[in-house]
Amino acid sequence: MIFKRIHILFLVFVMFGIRPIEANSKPTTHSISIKDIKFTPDDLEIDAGDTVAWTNEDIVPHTVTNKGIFDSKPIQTNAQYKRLFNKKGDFTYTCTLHPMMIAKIKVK
Amino acid sequence: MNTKTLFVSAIALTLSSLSIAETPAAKPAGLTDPQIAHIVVTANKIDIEAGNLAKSKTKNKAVLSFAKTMVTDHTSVNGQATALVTKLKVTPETNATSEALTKGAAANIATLGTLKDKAFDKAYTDHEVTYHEQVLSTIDTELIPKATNPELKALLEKTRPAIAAHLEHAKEMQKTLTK
Repeated sequence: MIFKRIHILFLVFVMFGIRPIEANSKPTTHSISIKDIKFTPDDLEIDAGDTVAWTNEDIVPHTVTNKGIFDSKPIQTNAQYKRLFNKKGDFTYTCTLHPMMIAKIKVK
Repeated sequence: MNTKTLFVSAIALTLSSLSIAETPAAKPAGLTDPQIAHIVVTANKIDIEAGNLAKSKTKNKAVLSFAKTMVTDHTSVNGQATALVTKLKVTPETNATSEALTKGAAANIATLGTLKDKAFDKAYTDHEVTYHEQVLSTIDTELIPKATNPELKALLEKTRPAIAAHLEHAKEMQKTLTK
C-alpha cells in the first residue's frame, strides 16, 4: 500500500515537473581566492542571483574590475569583496594593479 | 660627459653595486634574520622612491600606472614586513647587501633625475627590469634559503610572486616602449 502511494506521488511530481528536492534553487555564494598574483578559480560558472566573494590572500592589494560594470577598488590583504550577479552573461575581469591577472565569470 | 655616457656609467655603477651582494668577499658568512629583514625593507624603500620619482616625471600612461603599482605594492610589503619584525622583536641590521642596494639606488635616482620624457621612461623601465631580476635572484638564492624564522620565511615566500609579477609587467612595458 505504502509503495503504491509513493509511486503515485512520484508520477504526480513527474507529470507536473515538480522536483522533490530543488538542489540549486537557493542563491549560492561562491569563493574566489586571490593568491600568488592569480584568481583561483579563474573560470567560474554560476547561476543568476548568486554572489561571488573574492578574498585577497596576497601580500599586495588587488582589484576585481570589469570596466564599466564593476570595480572593487583596492582590496587589502585578508579583505574581501562581494558582488551579486543578477544578469546573465560572461564577465571577464582583471586586476588593474596587475594587468596580467585575468579571469572570467559565466552567469547562466 | 654627455647624457648617454652618464646614463651608461650610472647603470654600470648600479649593476656593479648590486653585484657586490653576490661577491663572496663582500657578503657575511651567513645572513641572519635581522640582516634579511633589513634587506627586505631596503629593497622595498628603493623601489618606492624610484616609483615616486617616475610618478612625478613620466607622461606615459603605462609607465605611470606601473609606477603607481610599485609604490602601492612595495608599501604594502614593507608595512607587513615592519609589522612582522615588530612582533618578532627583531631589529633590522645593516649589512653588505643592503648597503650595496642603497648605493645602487642612489646612483639610479641621480641618473633618472637628469632624464626626461622618453629617455626617462626607457631608463626607468630598463632599471625596473634589472632591479626586479636582481631582487628575485636574491630572494631565491639568499633570503628564502637563509631565513630561519618560519614567519619571516613565509613573508618572503609570499612576496616572491609579487616580485615575479612586477618583473613580467616591467618586461611587457619594455617591449611596448621599444616599438
